[in-house]
Amino acid sequence: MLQVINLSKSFGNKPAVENLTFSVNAGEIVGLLGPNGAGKTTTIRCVTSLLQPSEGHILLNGHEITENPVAAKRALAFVPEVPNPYEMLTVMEHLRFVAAAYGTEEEMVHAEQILTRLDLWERRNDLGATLSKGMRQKLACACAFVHRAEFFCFDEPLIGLDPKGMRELKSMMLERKAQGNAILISTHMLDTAERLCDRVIILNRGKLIVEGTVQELHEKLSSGADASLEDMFLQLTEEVVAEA
Amino acid sequence: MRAITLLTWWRIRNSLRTTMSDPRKLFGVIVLILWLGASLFLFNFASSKGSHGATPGDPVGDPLLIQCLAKISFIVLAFVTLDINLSEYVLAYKMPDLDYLFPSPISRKVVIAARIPAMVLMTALSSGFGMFILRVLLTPLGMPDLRMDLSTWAALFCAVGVYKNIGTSISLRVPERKRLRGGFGIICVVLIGLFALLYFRGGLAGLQSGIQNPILRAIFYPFVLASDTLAGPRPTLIPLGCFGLWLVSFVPLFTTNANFYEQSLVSSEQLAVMRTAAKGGWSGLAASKAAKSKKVRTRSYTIPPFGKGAGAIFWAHLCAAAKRSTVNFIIPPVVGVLTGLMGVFFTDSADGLAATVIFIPVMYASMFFLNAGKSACDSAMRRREIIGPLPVKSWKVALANLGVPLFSMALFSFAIAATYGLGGGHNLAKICIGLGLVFPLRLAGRMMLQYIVALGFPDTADKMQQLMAQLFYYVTSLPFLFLELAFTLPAYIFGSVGFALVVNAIYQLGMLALMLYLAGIASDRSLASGEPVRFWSLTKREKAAERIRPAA
Repeated sequence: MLQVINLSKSFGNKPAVENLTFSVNAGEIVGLLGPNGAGKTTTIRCVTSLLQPSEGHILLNGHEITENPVAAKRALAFVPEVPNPYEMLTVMEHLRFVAAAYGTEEEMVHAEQILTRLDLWERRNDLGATLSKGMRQKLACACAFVHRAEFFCFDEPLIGLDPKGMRELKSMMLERKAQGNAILISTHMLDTAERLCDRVIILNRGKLIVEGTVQELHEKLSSGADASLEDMFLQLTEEVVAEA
Repeated sequence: MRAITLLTWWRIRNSLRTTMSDPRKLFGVIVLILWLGASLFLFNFASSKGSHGATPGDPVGDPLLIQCLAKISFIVLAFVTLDINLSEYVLAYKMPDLDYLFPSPISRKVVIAARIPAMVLMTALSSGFGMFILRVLLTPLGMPDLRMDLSTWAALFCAVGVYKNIGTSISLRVPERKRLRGGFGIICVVLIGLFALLYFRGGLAGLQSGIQNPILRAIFYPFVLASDTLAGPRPTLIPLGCFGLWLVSFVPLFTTNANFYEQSLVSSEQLAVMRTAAKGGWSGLAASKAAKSKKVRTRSYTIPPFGKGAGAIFWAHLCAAAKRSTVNFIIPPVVGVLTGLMGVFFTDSADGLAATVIFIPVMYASMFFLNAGKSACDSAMRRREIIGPLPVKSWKVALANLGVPLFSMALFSFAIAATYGLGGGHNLAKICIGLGLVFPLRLAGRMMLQYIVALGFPDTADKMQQLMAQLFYYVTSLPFLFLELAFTLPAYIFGSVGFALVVNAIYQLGMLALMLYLAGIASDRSLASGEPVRFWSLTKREKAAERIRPAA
């Protein structure tokens, strides 16, 4: 579904991501982990074509995102780290706009169900300006689920959500995975990543330092069976800092 | 395109609904319309009176010269339009667009097309404003035979539109444009210099031949058409030609596949930070701009604590101001020295000319310092919850909060007085009392009044409240102005300017003491009640509220 090949992105002379290669397959949830400034958001912004890669290729659903962005982005749903809704659009109008932008207005039949699950149905006629941070996050997620996306890209989607919202979002992700969709999720919540993701990619200082299932990480790091993803993450990132 | 149309329609409809349901939001628009209407009326009234005085034979009213000036101003307008559309913010979008529009499968060309209505509106406004400025500039010269009608506006609209489109097309393709902008700026200055040289060497004929240069005409052809409409005999077909050029200028906008999202992302995020900062008033905006500066960001500061109580607060403000030392501590004395030198230069001229050349910059400087004082007041309101509980007397806190603008202002006025004195200017004692005593005391008193008014209207994010605060400040300062005149005029009428200045200085000192006292009471009451404190309520005693304030 998503193939990132030798991706590099620099801002001026400062490299943010260097020679990154990974893929996300259909029916898979992949966690993109890393400390602050590791390059997670830059990677996600390149994948969503918000940033132009300095080098490398990104193939989404078989389409090169820089060459054929419109076709590639038809399969993409994106939830940014800090969602900013249109202040003068109601919740329902946001969903209608997204459905129209993707040319899938017939999918609006699911809008009520999505909004109800995310506790937004009662506020469907409220303007974006009146929503709290958590509600804005839920609205961005609702917009991601309202069209026929095959690849979902979430940048810290659980921050600001209440426990019910978190559970609902995770269950919606698992449902999409079961339907054969691919999901890339960037998060600092390592316990959630451990339970939710099939594979994890750990970045540090713009470079991929390890990739694989939690089990594979155990084997690579020769850590004990009771070591959590958090233990392995801290071990890996501190090693890199010490080497530097 | 349907999605964009829906988006635009919903945004306009909901904005109108929200505005109409809250009359407070209409107040600002009504004030703006009234202000613009009044300005236009007054300008037309003044220019209609003034035009009777201008005679066709006046040298300043030479039609050819004025036509040349109009054409040069159009060339400058072309550069200004280009520069604005090459700026880093030209491709900035609203933050929701980055989250919802950019990642969607809507093509970039459609995203550009969605900007066109706003671009056209901006072009209409800027060309209208350009014509207004041209009228303001040319009216004193008599405005001979210039067509200031709809056809000129249409031609100018199209010319501005062409350069706007050219600028935007370049911006789409070239992400790094600082050097390009600098280059255009230099060319513009060189061109104006050349015109001046041609005028001084060859007179009006030389200037006209320069303007008629075929290369120049080709480069600025849309503006040449507009200036031909302004000064030429037959306007009807020219705007049509301009319109054609304007339509053609859209082609480069839509023939590029450049991915401008990255530069939009950067500039939109910067703009969003600045918009948020601007809600905190000018001081917030200035702080956010200063923080963006590479020099400020990369420099490390090690400042030792100094002073006690209000002195420590003043020290903290002074250290913060030192991060923008050029504006706060270098420009004021430099301008002061230059003003003083100008005074010395004219000291032997006609009676009072030295005082006049000093008075004009001082008048503008007082507006600048009052504005700086207002920013300091706004910042103080935002920090009130941190500074308020400190065991420092409120009037001292007020003085410390306004310390930096007062210090800058003192640097300015003392620099004038010192330069004028050292230069041996005439009426030294009067100028020195005026600038060394009356001016700083007067401005300090006014800043304290601003501080008290700010305590009555503390929400800097509320535009309506800030408008009311400004109005309230002017109304409140009127009685003080009348008192000032009442105290000073008799001495002046009896022919003693020096005595008038001394009386004025004593009056200003008294007013400053009173304002400090009132600022202290207002701060105490505001902290005790957590409510805004109106100036006129300070005449009533509220002992219970004052007692809550921690003892100094």
